[in-house]
Amino acid sequence: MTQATRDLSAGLLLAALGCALLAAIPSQVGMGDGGWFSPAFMPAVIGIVIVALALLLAVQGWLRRHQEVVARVEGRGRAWLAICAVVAIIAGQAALMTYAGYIATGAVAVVLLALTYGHRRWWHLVLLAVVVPPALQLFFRYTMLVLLPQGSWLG
Amino acid sequence: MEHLAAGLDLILAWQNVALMALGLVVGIVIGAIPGLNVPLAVALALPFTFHLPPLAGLSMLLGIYKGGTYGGSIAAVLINVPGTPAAAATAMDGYKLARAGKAGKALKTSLYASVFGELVSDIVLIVLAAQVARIALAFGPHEFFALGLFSLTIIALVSGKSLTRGLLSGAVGVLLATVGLDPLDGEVRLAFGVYELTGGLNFIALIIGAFAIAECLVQAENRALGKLAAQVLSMSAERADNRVSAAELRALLPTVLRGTGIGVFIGAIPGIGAAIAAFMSYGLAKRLSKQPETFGEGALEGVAAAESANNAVTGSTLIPLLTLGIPGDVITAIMLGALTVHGLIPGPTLFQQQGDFVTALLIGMLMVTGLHLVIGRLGLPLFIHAVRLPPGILFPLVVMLCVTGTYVATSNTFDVFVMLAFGVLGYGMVKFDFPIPPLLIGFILGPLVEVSLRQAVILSNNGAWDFVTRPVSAGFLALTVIVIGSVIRQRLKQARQT
Repeated sequence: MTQATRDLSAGLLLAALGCALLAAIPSQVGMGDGGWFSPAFMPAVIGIVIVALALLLAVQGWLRRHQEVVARVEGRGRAWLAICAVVAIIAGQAALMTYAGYIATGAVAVVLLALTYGHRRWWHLVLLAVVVPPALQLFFRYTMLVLLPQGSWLG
Repeated sequence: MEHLAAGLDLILAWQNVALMALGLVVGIVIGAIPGLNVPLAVALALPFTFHLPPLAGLSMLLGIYKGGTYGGSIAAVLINVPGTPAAAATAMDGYKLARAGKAGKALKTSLYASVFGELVSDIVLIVLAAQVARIALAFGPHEFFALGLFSLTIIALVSGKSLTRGLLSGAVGVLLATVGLDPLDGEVRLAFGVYELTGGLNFIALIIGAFAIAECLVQAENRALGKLAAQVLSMSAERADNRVSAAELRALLPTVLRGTGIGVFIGAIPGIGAAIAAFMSYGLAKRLSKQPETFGEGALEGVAAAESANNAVTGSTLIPLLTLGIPGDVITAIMLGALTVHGLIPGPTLFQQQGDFVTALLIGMLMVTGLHLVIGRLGLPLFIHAVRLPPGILFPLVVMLCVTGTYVATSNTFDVFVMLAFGVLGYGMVKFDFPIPPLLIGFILGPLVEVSLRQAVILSNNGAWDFVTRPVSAGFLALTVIVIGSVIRQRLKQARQT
């Protein structure tokens, strides 16, 4: 995708989001005493600014649409897979931490992340799983007095 | 003179010096960990000070404060993870320098600029405390609004190639800051029925997500495309790339002096904070630089500007506290607690009744700054060594720290999802060439501008004249117009040239 196409698509997307925001303000923002400087004032002003700037960006992208050459990147599919894997691992850890505990989810997450980043030495992976989550848990417990989730499934 | 001798006698006790050093080490470590911030570290150390003599306790708190403010820059430079909000400005150029094999140079610049900023700030506290406090307290809602508006112009200066994309990024930041309870009316805004959003979006989750997680996603992509190096940080073998020469220091001096001035001024105004000082100094340094195009690409000036301003805040935030008994931020509020627990009431009477104590405290601040230089310098090889790990180990560790740090900040897994959402947003911004710093600046300044504008309008009975009749407010508004005018002129000139 060229920079012009990116600007055009980002501009149109942000303009649509800005319009959706402006439409949502009456139902999503309490109006206070209903005066000029009500709680809706800032979101409304910023919504208008976002729509205006987004349309400007889209126009700038449209005007430059023939100026740039498209460069093809090989392996985009693999890249998307890696990005989705990292996002899924973090989301999975966050979702399961309360139930399975920080140490168990942390051990699985750190190994999966290392594999995603291409690390294959099994003894490194074992070390990461065994050392990192307990070390972090102990650090936060005894220096910061913060208890990380123990896991409701583990009693 | 008698206060000086007695003060020296008090502060030079070995346990005071040891506690300063301990505080500095703890502060640097905590500052470097994403999600853990200086107020949290100072708050956790507060109960320990109850069992210590007041001077020893405050020495430790000062060490944590100064060490933590500097520590944020270490992770920012080495792995693009700002340990503190103010360090986000340092990350913009520090990380680029580290990727170019110049991590040693970037960290040394950061350390020297930080120590210089602290030293000058301490001296200003000692010499000009009362005068600075008087100016700072002249700030009302009108002045805060004008200052906030002026600070928003920094967005234009850190926008990179496209002003439109920078302004959009900043506007989205301001919008995100409006989520949650309205600060004046208490109405819920833009929470879309999600209970956890009524308290607003977590700032720490935003910083960690938009900077650190976004970087981890970019590196995961690079790894899949075969573009990830065997080591994230390849250290240059050139000695010149890992040291800061005398000529470089001389060249950086004007930038550091300006940054220090900004930091001292911003620090003395209650409720503004180091992040704004760092970005303001960065923006000004770019504006006045002979090579503004190098900013964002690994400019040493950028690191020096951000770090000098960031750390120059530490001394001047104590000015309103010690001279008038008014804490300007969370950290000084905690220090106020530490003083009052020991029966010491800050304000003009403290200087009269506890002259020896105040003198010892001020000398202690200078000593902490000296120790900061020594400990920071000794620790540099250790910090660099810590990130010379293969990416397959380093990035999983960074992600684990990000998840843990975000969770620890609020003990809420919802914020980990918020961090992840900002990570995806940050990744999208990188891919679409939107600058991330304006998002952060908008998020920090949005509430200040909104609240002060609404307060000022209420105070002026819905009139706007006071903004231009009050001298400080009018001065900042004039500066805002000048900066916007010069940015537009510069951009038009660039457009004509291309």
